[in-house]
Amino acid sequence: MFTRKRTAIFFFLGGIGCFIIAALLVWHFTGKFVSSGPTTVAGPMPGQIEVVSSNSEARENKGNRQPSKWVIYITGSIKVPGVYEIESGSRVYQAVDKAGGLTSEADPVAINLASALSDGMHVHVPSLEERSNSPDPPVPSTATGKISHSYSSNVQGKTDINRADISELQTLPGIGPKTAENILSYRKERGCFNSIEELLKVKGIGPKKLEAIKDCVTCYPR
Amino acid sequence: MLSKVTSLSKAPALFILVGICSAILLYDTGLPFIVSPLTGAVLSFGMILLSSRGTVKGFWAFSFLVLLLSVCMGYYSLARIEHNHVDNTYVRMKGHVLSERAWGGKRAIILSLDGSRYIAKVSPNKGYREGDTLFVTGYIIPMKSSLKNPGGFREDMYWKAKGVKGEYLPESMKLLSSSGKDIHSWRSYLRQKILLSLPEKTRGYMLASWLGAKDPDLVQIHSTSGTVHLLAVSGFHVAILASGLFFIFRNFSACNILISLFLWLYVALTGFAPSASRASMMLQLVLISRFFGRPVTPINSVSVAGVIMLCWNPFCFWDLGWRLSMVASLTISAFVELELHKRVKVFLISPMVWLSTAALIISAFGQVPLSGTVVNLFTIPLFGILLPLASLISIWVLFGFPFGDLFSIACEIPFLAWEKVAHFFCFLFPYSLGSNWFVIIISVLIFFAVIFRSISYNFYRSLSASGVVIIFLAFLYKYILV
Repeated sequence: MFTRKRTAIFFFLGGIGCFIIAALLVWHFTGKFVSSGPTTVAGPMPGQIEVVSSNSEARENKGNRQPSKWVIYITGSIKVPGVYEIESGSRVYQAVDKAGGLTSEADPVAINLASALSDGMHVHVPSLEERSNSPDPPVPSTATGKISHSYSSNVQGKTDINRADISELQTLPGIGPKTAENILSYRKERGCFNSIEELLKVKGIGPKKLEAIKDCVTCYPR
Repeated sequence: MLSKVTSLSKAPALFILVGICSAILLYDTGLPFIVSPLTGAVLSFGMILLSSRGTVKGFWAFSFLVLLLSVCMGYYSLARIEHNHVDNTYVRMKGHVLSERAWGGKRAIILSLDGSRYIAKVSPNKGYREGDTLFVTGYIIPMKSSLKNPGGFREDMYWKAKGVKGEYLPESMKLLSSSGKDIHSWRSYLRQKILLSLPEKTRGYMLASWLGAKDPDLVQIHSTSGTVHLLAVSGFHVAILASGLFFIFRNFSACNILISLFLWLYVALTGFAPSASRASMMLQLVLISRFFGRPVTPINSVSVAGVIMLCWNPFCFWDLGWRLSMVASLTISAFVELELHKRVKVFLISPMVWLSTAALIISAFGQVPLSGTVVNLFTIPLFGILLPLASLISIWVLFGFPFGDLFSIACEIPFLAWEKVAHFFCFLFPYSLGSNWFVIIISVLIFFAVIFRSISYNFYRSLSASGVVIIFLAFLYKYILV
């Protein structure tokens, strides 16, 4: 009887011990990679100081050393898409080589193989079919996820409301200088338009005006 | 052979469920991928030890197996979460509207494009309906990550729980056809028929029970009386249907197969609502176990259903409907196992579910009406009769049989009467429990105490084990989530 009771107490204490271990694991690991940075050298953004594996290393290297490797994400019509480590200062063709080369469906005209890369960049190699469907060029992007490529604000004769300047906006039917200004200030305030319908939120644009311009505009996320 | 003494033999799947849920929760709070399922397994093992009083033959081997499964399924779920992303793409293709609902000043539609689901928010005057085929051009972008705000609404997770992969930004959408032969077109057709043929209250309840669509007026009435769960397709509806099916097919040799067939047809009709899927899965397990002559415990069946759903779509974890359904069904299945008098159980079960789900409801909606404790006592049995009756009358009306109008009016009267009585009780108990630490702790304590009591051996042991869990959750909230 005594032994059974003692076993029960041991089990209970063991349970508490497991919860304590779990709490310690959580305490030790939560946010570790956020606060201390990644354990692998990811390399710098151009002109910025790199993030390194540990705080001590960071103190030693702060501000001076350039990493020897960059991390590139490559997708699309290439043989082995994925994330690659590549020598810093590389260009797109080197990243493509590293990913096994272009596939037969790739569109070599749509991508500039001589472009310079930067760390954390996303390179997308479009296929021939993709180019025929899409009005836009390939999508290289920076580590922050923002598209760094400068798109034309006029795609297939349509005005991109996320990129057009005030004069381009005024070419739209029913849009005068005041409304164009309102569009720009809305865009500045909110970052970008997520859909053409969002123009309704701009002062001076109602359903009728939207109906008049919606075939002349496009909205590509920034 | 494991004796019935251990909690492991009663509900092994419960510990796997705890492991997976912990892994997902911890991963969401920022724990690394590799560590989260292992920590989940440690917590799971902690729960096994807290609820056991000793070992029997095979205890350690079975514990190891359960923990191994918990870790493997934890990694699998996290891998599914990790790899759920889309690249920016331009699309120009045919798509199907799988569902649509109001979303602020817009309509949110879930589109199936090339086999994957995307959410689009369109102007309400577009009027696209479920089952429509569209030709769309536009951009697909990843969903905006919402803030990791504990208790706050996370839109991306809400949609991902519905299988959505990304957001579709429409450039142009052209309606190609409105009729099809898939389940979505049938749902759309049925919705139209219900809206045109049935009187106000009956159509609201039928839309909710058959199609999982909520009438805003009914939601308002049921929210104030704390009975809004009746409008979500849940285990309650599945249980009513299953009882009816058992009664009809009791003398058939293929009784189990027929019940399963009709049950899953109903779940498909409701748009695979998480709570309905969970309840059907649970019932299916009971039917399978019965067929093979294997013993089955309700709490283990609920847990198995939960584990299957998390492996199917780990984003279910963020679905409030799934969480409420799991908490309520675990509470019910654990409570019915307690050694209490039948009448006491019947009387207490509704307040127990109300209390155990209060923490979740408060964290999502800010408050929970007190009137729910009383109104639920008579509403649940009443609707247990009214809903099947209204369903039969509605089928009569929808098929255009004679005296349909008369029957539908007769059906409307009890719903209106219930509304008056519910209003009266809301007037008597106008108070709501707001975001209060004491209430939340009591709610969580009751949930875990009932669970531990049903799988453990002693009341005080269950209460202290619940206390340990509460302290851990408080630590998690205080130091990690905030």
